Amino acid sequence: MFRKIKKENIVKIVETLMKDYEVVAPVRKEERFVFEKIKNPEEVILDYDTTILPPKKFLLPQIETMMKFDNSKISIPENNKKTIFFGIHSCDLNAIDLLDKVEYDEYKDSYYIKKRENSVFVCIDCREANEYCFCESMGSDKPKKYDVLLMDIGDYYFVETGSKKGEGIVKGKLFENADKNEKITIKKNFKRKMNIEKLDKILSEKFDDKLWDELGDKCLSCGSCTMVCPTCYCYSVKDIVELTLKKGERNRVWDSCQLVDFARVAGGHNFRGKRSARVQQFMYHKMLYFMDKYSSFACVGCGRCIRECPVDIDITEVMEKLRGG
Amino acid sequence: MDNPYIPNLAVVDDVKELTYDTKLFKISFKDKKAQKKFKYKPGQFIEIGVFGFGEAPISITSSPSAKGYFELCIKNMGNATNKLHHMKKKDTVYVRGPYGNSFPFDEIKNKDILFVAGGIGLAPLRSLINETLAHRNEFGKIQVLYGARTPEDMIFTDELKEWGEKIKVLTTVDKGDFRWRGNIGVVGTLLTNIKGELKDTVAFVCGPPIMIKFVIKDLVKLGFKDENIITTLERKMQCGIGKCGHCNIGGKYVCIDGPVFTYKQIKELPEAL
Repeated sequence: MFRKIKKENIVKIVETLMKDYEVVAPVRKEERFVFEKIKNPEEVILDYDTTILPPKKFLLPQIETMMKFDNSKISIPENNKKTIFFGIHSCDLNAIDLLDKVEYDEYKDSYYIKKRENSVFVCIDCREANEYCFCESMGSDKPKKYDVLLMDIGDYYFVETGSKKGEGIVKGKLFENADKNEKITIKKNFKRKMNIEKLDKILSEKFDDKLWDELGDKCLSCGSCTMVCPTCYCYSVKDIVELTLKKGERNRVWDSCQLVDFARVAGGHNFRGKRSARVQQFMYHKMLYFMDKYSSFACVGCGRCIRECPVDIDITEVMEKLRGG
Repeated sequence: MDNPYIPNLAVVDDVKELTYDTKLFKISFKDKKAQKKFKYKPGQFIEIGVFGFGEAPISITSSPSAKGYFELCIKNMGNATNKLHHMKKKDTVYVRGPYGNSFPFDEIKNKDILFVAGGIGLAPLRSLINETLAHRNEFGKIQVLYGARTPEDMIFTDELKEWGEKIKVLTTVDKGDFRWRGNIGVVGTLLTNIKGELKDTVAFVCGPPIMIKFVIKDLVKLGFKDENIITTLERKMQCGIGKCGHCNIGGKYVCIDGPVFTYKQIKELPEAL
């Protein structure tokens, strides 16, 4: 059974959801958009292009307290709040699928999983590719797992559900029954593409290509690409203590393979002291290494790393150059 | 759900100074059940920490035949290890693990074994050396080569002597002093003295990255098979459980897929050495 909801009723449904959930949704920030915890349902904007940071910041926060310590007492911060991600694009949702592969693997990351399992995802089918997007090339233009999927059909959003949780949400009065013929699928026009055919073979052969030195000269090691990437998950652990040294907390903070100290070990040896090696690590991890370990690219083609790079390093262009040269 | 990051409270039962910058810590868990549950194999490591000073990945240097405690050989290198060096008997620390894969053991039975250690690289190998010596008749010829920067940097000197009574042990230093009458030169120079059917000998190599690189080259030249050269890779392993990303090499995490790798595996990994 399909449902639909009048666009003007979106504010009302967000208001209803706010009673049971923390609602995270795209809002305007100057010329751009960001995901934020909504205080006022009117802020929600569903017709948006890629947000500055992906919604991973709510599942893997930039700074997360892992435990507090007080002499020899350890306490773990409780977090039982339910979150609904309202209006998430398919690229960002599929990226969370990739994070799942890491965080549910072997040792389970309890902090991530707790938040993940208290989350509901209302996906919005995005209708326009900006100049950086290449999600189609990465097979990420359609959401794989969602609770609710909204599709713009004019005055209404056509609604599909992908889970029991989702069905529960669309049962309400604000939704109407819909006929499956009302669904409108569109073919987006992508200006940017990435050819992934035999990419693993190409990358294996081009490890020592001189292009990496050129990129090393160009790159500023600012780490922006990794910060905005929806599939980057690396972190560092930092202890913060009070002056007594008896009380404090152990936090984890986002780290980046682009920063010079990332692979430096005690004693000073740096396994990736060269900038070229660090740029290469970012791209190889996305396009080859993650595939080896988790059978998938670690890229959903959201284009954020291209958009935010201050020196215009473009992963699609780099892959194409390696293929050609 | 279990939280894999919560460490267990442990007590320093004893501290021994091995060199000016390296100490041997005997540790046991405060909770007897945790101590009983703590089973490890040579080659594995733990994360040891002091709140406020962070954690450090340290290989276990005792052999599993030691019961009721475990030992860590720790060089004063960073924040956490410096704090540990200021600890005394009965002080408390936090430990989680054991993590990582381990050295092969049953697979190498009846074979000749060569241990090549550089500097603090003897610490992880000591666990396996003592374990093989505890089952001496199940192995062929066992030889140990150990190199340190100077005589003052040598660790486990008493044990090296004890081992020397049962198996061949050769030592060397990069730079001697007025008392040193032994070999001078990097540990690789001792390889000319080893005996046996080298193409079936299993070599365990541990030490600083540069030493590993050169010793492996020498071993290959001597006819050792790639799959018979076994080493451990050093990386910044912050979480120990394949999440924080620091120890990533190719499709592997050193903390969970290693730290023990064969040279055959390493050849497939970009920038491993």
